[in-house]
Amino acid sequence: MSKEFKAILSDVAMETLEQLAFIFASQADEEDLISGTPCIAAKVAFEGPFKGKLFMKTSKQVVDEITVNMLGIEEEEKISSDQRCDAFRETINVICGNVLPEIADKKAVFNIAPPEILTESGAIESILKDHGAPAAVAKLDIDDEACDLYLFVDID
Amino acid sequence: MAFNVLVVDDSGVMRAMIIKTIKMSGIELGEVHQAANGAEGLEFLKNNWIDFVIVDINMPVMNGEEMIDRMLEDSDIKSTPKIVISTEGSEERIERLREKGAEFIHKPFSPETIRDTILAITGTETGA
Repeated sequence: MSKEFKAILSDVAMETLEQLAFIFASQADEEDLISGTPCIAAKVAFEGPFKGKLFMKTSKQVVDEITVNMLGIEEEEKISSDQRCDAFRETINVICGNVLPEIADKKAVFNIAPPEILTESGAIESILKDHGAPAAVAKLDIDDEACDLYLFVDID
Repeated sequence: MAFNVLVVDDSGVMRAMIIKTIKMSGIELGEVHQAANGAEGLEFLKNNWIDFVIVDINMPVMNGEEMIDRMLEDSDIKSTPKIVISTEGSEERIERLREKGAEFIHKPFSPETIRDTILAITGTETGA
């Protein structure tokens, strides 16, 4: 795994979470944080000079915070499942859009597919196994909740 | 001056965030309209006048670049100021959009960036 890719993925994810959703994340220790609430996972695929996929998994609690902050509503206001999924899809989409110019040439043209919520249970381990070794894994700590990103790159 | 705006993005959360950020920036908004893709946006523009349109690029049904192309073909709306807010990172694509008369804002964005871009594209010297 490229340390450079890992640093790029971590930095871009942290910057995006801060600027998009006013969420302050830090790099987590190598050991996984254990989330106390159910997790949500999403993926986004891209094609260009090379193709690949980005996966993101975090707790429902973190996604709720992202949603509330993006919408600018009070925490007491109820969030719908649609809003939660929409906010999470948009978050992974922005992270992916900002990672690609950093790992490829800035002139490179990528087509990013619509992001998808994989599961609201967060169980993506079997899906990740099917993709082989990731090019980079970023593990973030958001208020003691885990936020994991897996970047798979397919360079033919 | 209050601006009438059309925000075109397939994400309802992102549309809400863009509108919230414009308000935070000090720009006064009048009528705020929303569309979920380029086709819906064009349909709205046929019968309504706005001060500027904000468009995402990657959307289902009709993407933002095609919407801008269609606007440029229509004499009634070709001069409507256009702002693209997108995750697009390719300098080549961004330059192509600028050549079509659109200003470009990269996601994520700040209130200041949105304010400065709106003031520049509408030819307004000072904000609200």
